[in-house]
Parts: sequence; C-alpha cells; structure tokens
Amino acid sequence: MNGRTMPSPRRVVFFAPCAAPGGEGLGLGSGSGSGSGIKDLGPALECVRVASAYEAAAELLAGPVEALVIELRLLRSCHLRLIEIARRAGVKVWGVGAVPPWVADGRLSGVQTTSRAELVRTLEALAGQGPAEAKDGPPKAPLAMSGVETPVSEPLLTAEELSALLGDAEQA
Amino acid sequence: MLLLADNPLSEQIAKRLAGTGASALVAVADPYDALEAMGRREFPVVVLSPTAATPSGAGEFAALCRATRRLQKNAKLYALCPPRLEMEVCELVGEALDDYFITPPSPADLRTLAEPACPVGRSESPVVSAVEPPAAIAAEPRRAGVSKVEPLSCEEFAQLASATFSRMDLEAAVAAMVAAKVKGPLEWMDESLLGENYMPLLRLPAGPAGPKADTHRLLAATEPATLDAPAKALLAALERILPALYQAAKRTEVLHHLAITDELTGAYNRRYFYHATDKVLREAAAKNLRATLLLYDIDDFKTYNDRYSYAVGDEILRETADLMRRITREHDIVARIGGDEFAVLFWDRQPPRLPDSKPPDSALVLARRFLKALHRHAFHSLGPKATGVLTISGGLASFPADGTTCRELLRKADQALKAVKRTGKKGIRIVGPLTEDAEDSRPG
Repeated sequence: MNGRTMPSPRRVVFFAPCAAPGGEGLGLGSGSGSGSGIKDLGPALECVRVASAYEAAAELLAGPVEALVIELRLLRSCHLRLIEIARRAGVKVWGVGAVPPWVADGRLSGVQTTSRAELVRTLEALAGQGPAEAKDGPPKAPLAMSGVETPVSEPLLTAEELSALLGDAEQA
Repeated sequence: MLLLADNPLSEQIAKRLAGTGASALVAVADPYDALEAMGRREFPVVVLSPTAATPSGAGEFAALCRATRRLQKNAKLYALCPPRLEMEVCELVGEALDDYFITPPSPADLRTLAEPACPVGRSESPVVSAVEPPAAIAAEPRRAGVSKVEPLSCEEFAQLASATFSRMDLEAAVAAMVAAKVKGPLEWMDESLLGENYMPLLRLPAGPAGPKADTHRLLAATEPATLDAPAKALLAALERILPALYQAAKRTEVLHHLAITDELTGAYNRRYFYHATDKVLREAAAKNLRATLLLYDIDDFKTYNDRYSYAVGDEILRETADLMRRITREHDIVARIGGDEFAVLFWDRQPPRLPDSKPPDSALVLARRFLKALHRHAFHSLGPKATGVLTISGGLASFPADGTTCRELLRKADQALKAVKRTGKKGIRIVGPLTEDAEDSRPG
C-alpha cells in the first residue's frame, strides 16, 4: 500500500447480441457485470457486452465508460434515450452496421457510424492510451475514429474477436 | 422506494402506501427515468411493473431487472405485474427479482413493500415502516438475488418426475404435494365441473400443452384455503413445469399402451396377459375371489386365410376380439396370445355371496353369451350371407381348482380346448370329462 490509486482500465460497452456461434473462444459469458460478457483485454481496456439497451444504460450510469458501441440494427425507437444518456455522460457512441430505416435524420445525432475495421483500429488506439486515470468522469480527450496509428505490435482485437463481441460473426 | 409503473397504477400504489409508513416514494413512468434515478442514488426497495417496460415483453422486462440489479445491488427488487404476465415474471424470481406481486397488491403485499430493507453495509434507510412485516416473509433472511422461498425442491421435482407414469399418477402426486402446503382437501377436475365453493389453485391449459385436449384442468381446494408465500411459490412453479410433465406422462401412457396391446386386434398381448392374470390371481387368493380362464381359437381359421386372404383373416380376428370385449366386463382381461388364439380371464371383484357357489358359473354364462353373439354376427368380409359360419372352440379352467398361476390355468384350459376339438369343435368345455355344460355351450 503506497497510497497511490491504481489506474482503472478504460471501459467500452458493447450493446450487441449474445455471442454468435464460434465466439466462445473469447472467454465471454461471465464477468462482473450482471448478465454481461466481459473480456479482459489487458490493463488498458475492458470490454463489457450487454444484450439490451437497458443494461447498456445501466453500465453507463454505473461508472465511467469510455465508449459505447451499438449494433445499430438492435436499436429500437423506444431506446433512443440510451444515446441521450451516453451523450450527457460524455461517452463516445459508435454505431456499427446499417442504420435502421425507421431512424429519421438527426435522431442518431452524436452517434458516429463506423465500420468494423475502423472500430478495431479505434479500440487499439484507445488501448494504446493506457489505463484511465483513477477518477470518475468522461474521457478527457475526444477519440479520433480513424487515422490513428496503432501503437502495439499485435492487434488488440482481431476482426473475428470484434465480430464475436458484436455477436455477429457472419457480418464481419 | 423507487416505483416504476404506469401512471394510474403508480398513483394507486402511492395512495395505498401512504398509510403503511413507507416514505420517500419516487414514482416514475419511464424505465430510463427509473434507471437514471437509480444511477443517482441507492434505493432500499425498487418496484418495477413489466407493463412500463417498453416495448412490453418478457425479454425487455428481464433486461430491465438485470439493469436494475446492476445499479442497485443492495435493494430489494420486486415486480408488480398483472395476472396475465405472472408466468413470465415468476421465472425471474431468484436471479433477477426478489419477489413479485400481482396487481392490485393486497394490504399484505404493501406491507412487504414498505418494510425496511436493512441492506448490508448501509446504516440508514429513507423508508421507515410502522408496520411489522408478515411473519412468514420476515422469518426468512434474504440475500440480494436469492428468492426468499424455494418453490420446489429437487426432491419434490424428482417425486413429480417419477409420477409421470400416467396423468392420473401425476395428478395424485401434485395434489399430495400441494395439499401438504395448503392443508386442506383438494380435487382435480375439468374446468366445466368447478363448483361455486371451490377455490381454483392451479389451472392448466387445454390443447396439446395441457393434460386434456378439450378442456382446462383445475386443481381446486374444496374448502376455503389460505395461501401463504411458500404455497403461492409452489403453485407458480407447478404451473410452469406441469405442462412438460403432463407431456411426459402422456408419452408414457402411449408407450405403455403400445407395450401391452396387440396391434392388430387392440386386445392385450400375451406378455401383459401373463403379468395381469398372475396379479389378479394373487389378489383372488388373498380375497377369495372367483376367477376362470377361457382359452379359445377360431375353428379352421387357416381356411379363411387361404380361401379369402390374410386381410380377411385379420378382419375376422379384429371382429372376434371386438365381440369378446363387448360381452365381457370392463375388468375382465381379453388378450390375443398368438395366431387365432385368445385368452380371457373372467374374475369377480367381490367374493361369492354363498360359500358353495360353483366357481365357473359367471364365466360360463359369459362364454355362452359370446358364442351366441358370434353365431349371430355377420362377418361381411366373408360375403353377404356370412352369418353363423364362423365358430370357435374353447376350454375353461377355474382358479384355484385347476391351477393357481396363469401358466397352470392356460395348460388346463388348453387340455379342455383340445378335447372340444377332438369331439367336433364348435363349443366351449370346462376342464375335466365331457359335461352337460360343454354340450350346452354349443350353439344350436
């Protein structure tokens, strides 16, 4: 005990369906979040997967979250409040997949749509920033979505792993 | 307390809680408002209504409960649900919910909602209850995420599973289990027969998922009964698992039927005849009951197969078995024991009123009736004028004079049958030397 506060990993919440077949190898399915799948990706990043918008909101409200990744096809109009909560908490929201046809222009304001490949690069960049400072609150600096150099020699998440996190390996 | 409910229900609960001592009620109608409120502070009690979860559905509500657990680890988490959603909500008790109540909540439910939560690690609670919680609930300490009442133990489930030999056995096992908790007389009945004073406890669906295809099946208390929390939990658990157990019981019944019957004639098969006859004979020995075994076959059956066809032969066997079943009593055992050979065990359920009654009397009467029915029956498969053409030969053996087991009686009856064959067929003969009875049994 030296009195120093241990840095906590940056948390990224994935709102995505349960693991697709083949995703078991990631060791998902048990974790500290109730009903969540958590993969420990080293000291820098912690990915939490939830299968519902309510649980995603609970994760945002429970503690500091770096980013929220939403499989857009899962989003229903009655759950747009989730995005509002994320926005108020200063949490980055990244949307993956096609925008549902019912979503009118502007209703996803604040959500950055991204491709899976881009998302992998962004997450790697995020991990490269190291653990979050041991304090609550939103991330200090906005994250670039592309054009960030990967500071690690091995990819943090493979495309397959990301697909499994998003629960949709076939679309990878 | 945090209450998530539609506005009318919320107002109603708030009004009724006002007199229970509960304070600091935060009522919201939107699930996200509820989650945000939970994110700001801890509540000792959280009450959620599934109808307020959007879109309303079991999966959405379960997700909302899990989200609530994530934010309120120490709170008591209750659901307030309409009766139609009880089954879905009940499944969440234990993992995602502490308990649930049916709307409108009873005064006892409200007292439970208003009781202080006393969560571990917290010294103060904003809710102060002036009312003692119900003893049955207060007696059991709770842990977050664990149901206060175990609805069905492994032993009880095993007991029910082992009773799936038939629907009747299953219903008896369920009634005994529920009666132990309800402490009153119970009865299973079809819904249409429910009396005014009966109190329905379990209602099982009609159709393929239920015990009967055409009507709901009810377990009802025949006298007014009080249901405590364990009884309610048991009933809710039974309502969930019984459809599957009934399916198992129905399958077992079908398999059992296939195992003991002859496919062609619908009569019992040889294996079952031996088993059932020996069982009856043991009972007959113990209770001094009368029993007589008839063994018969169709005279010259081979010629029907040869002259007409095997299909005609099969038809004759079916019709002969039907005729025999019609003239016998329900408890008599009619079996096809091979080829065109049939055996019947006639037995009386009551001992003879007079100790010196002749044992084979009723059997002989029934056998004669069968011969007459056979003589009158038109076997259409044999042609338009095929009445009285088909005859049988049979032998009768009586318990215990001619044997005390199925095998012994069959052997003796077979001897009598062969004797009839030797003397011209077309009749039934009692074991022993040719008697007047045997002559009389031949159709005139």
